[in-house]
Amino acid sequence: MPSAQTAKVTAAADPIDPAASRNLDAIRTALGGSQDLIAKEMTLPGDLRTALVYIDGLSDNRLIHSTIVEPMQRLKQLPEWPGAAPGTDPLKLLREDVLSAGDIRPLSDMQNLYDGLLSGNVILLLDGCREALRIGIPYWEDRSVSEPISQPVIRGPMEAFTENIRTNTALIRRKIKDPRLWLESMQIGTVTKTNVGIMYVQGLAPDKVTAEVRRRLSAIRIDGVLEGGNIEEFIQDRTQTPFATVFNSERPDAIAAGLLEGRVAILVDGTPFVLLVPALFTQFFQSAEDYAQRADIGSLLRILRFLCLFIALLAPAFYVAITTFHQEMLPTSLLINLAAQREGVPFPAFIEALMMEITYEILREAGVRMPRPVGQAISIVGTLVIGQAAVEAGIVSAAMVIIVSITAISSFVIPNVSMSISVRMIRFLLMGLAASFGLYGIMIGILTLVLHLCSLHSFGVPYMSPIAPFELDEQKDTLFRIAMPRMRGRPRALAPGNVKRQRRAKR
Amino acid sequence: MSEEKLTMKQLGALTIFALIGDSIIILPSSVAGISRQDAWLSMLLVLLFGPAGCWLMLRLRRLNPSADLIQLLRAGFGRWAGGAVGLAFLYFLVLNTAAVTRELGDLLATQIMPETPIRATHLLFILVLVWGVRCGLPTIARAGEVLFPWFVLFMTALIVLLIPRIEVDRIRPIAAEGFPTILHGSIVAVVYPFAELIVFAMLWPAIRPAKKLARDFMLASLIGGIVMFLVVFISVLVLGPYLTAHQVYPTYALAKKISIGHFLERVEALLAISWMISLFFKGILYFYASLSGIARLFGLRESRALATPLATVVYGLAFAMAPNLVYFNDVGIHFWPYWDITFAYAIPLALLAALAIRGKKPSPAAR
Repeated sequence: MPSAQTAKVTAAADPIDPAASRNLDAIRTALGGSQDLIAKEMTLPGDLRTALVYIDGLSDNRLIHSTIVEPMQRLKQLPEWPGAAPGTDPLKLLREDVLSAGDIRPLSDMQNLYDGLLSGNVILLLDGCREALRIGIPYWEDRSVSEPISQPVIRGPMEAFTENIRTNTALIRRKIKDPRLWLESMQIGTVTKTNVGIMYVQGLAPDKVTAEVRRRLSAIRIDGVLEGGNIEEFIQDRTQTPFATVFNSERPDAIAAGLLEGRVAILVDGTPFVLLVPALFTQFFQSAEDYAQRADIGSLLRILRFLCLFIALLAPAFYVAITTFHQEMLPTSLLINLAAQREGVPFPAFIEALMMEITYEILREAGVRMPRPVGQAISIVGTLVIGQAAVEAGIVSAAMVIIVSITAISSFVIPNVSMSISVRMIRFLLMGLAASFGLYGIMIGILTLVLHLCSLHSFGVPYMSPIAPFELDEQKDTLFRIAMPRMRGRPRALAPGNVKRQRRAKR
Repeated sequence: MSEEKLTMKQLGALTIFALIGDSIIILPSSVAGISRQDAWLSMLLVLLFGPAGCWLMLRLRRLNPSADLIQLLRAGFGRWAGGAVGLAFLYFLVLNTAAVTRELGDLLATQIMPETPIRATHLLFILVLVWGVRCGLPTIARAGEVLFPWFVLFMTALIVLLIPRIEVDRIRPIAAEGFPTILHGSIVAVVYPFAELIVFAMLWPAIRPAKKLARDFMLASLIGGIVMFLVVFISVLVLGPYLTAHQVYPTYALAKKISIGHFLERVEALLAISWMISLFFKGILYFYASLSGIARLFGLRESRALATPLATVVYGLAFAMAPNLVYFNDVGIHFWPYWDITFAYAIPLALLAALAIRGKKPSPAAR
């Protein structure tokens, strides 16, 4: 990335200068005299100069005072600086005997110094040393753990991830208290240096998948990662597809459940959305609530969601196809009714449907982007103006409004936004096919869609599994959600060789 | 090329699709045209003959599970003669792809969308064939698994919803025209569903070897055969032998008869969808087999690049193979069965004989 090249701090790989004041000057120059850079200089006995450097707001001021400044002050009252004695390493002395902070590591070059400084560490420079100390007491203002906004449930945990990766890893660890829950960290983004964590249950997640995740993540060369979506596009198996092959969730329970099935979670600092791979098609239709409710209710809800998938995908296309090509399929009285409604409508059914669908998409997008207090206005405009007035003005038929509404509502039933967006896009293609070839066109569209879905893989796992390749045992948790005591296995495609999940209950 | 092999379940679904394929549209009229009200008896006989034909295809696989028919032909008849027979077989495969396309086009043009030009429906179908073949055989097989439950649902609906319309008198008198007529009917009836399973002789190398492969393949073909029997049986029971024989698409006429409580009626277009699924899979299996056969015969490493050129050939052939529907159906009833028998039974039998005489086993590297 060219921007990464220019942003590189000049002479960053330089070693640390033995003179603390020269280092200080170098840091000041490198940061361009930024006001939030705090440098506190102190003199130890024997006229030894030290400097404490940190970024205001990234480190905890109170902790800096109690764990660094106070011990140093006490050091000042000594008659002689003990580090000056021959054979002692002054930095080791400071680190082990003086400072009471926990996470202290030595640094030897300026690049690491900048990295440490800008990610919230305090840097301690000492005259006469070719190394500096990096003291980790980061602190920043954080949003507290709140309710999930995009994936709400009626029954189930009501906490969501936050923007802080530490809080997020802690939320997951609180759910899985096992030493086999491993966390690997790396930094991605040549400029942003975003912390990215890979979390998995060691022994459950196949080594092939974790290695592949590691490989794909470390192959990313980008200047900035600001959201999981930035890396999602780099690690997905195929780019030319409307479907997401990386699952995302803001719910710790959904991610924990995925980890227990042998999936790998990718946490990105700065976003409450955690990625989960491999992602399967059916996963996008499952809500965390399915497992919180009773099994029969969960199954019913899932079937309802798949039904809604078909409505959201096909309802306008079927309407167009039937009113344009296959009027004979309608019962006579309904046909007469529809014909009477459409009598005054000047457009063909396809144009009518297209107009209404696009109008709805505009309303929906406006509803998302607009400031919350204005939201009321949109619903009035939406229902009254677009709905009723359009029918009364004879621009669209009432039946069309019903079709568009049921399509819209159905697309909201799909629990994951990534999937409902894909469905919305494909709907338009199917409408076009229906307008030109009727049911045959729809069928061709469905065949193409099914072929495409079956050709997808997510980290080597077929996207349509366990429907195709068919696994009878896993149907227990696909279209249906049978009772937990009978759900003994893990998905075979995700955790091969470690399928057994629970022991037969003793009766 | 992915090394993924097909599972037994996928093979089963594809077998049933390929077997029902276009037969469901044309078989009832051709069988009822010969054995009248005893068409169902002919179909019962088919359940005996058909799986015997499948045994022949499995026998070919036993020779060398990792060789397709082109390789076997060359091993049996020698490099040049085998190549020539292979070329003829490829023509059979391509022509069958075109025939499936044409059947779909004719069905749509005469029954569902009379104003849409047949060229357009053909083009769309062939585009999906190309798309599917480019995705690869494992993808096709997975798509088969996804659509199979829907197909089962629609077929069950067709049969169950027609039960109220059954009139048992229509199959009487039983076996009035004697056994030879019934036998003649079953010879025609065995060809479309069962003989055209020979396409699997081209696909054996792509199927994961399993102990129960032979049993499952037989079982799948038997299930498909039973479905065909039920379809013919119910056509005769509901439409009667005369209408079944004289309708161009008896099953389509059959679906029009469905009427439950004045609500569930005129569902024939929905059933046409399920036939489209089976036609599609038959078409794509034949198209895939033609492509891999061409690549094998001419020693090409990659067959997908040929998909588009071959598609244009199929497109032209589907249009040129018959001037109209009547001609096409006439060929289908009077000549096509023997064409099928030649390639599905006569050539494999000759091949087995040749291999037995030469007394050698084809090696996997045989080209």
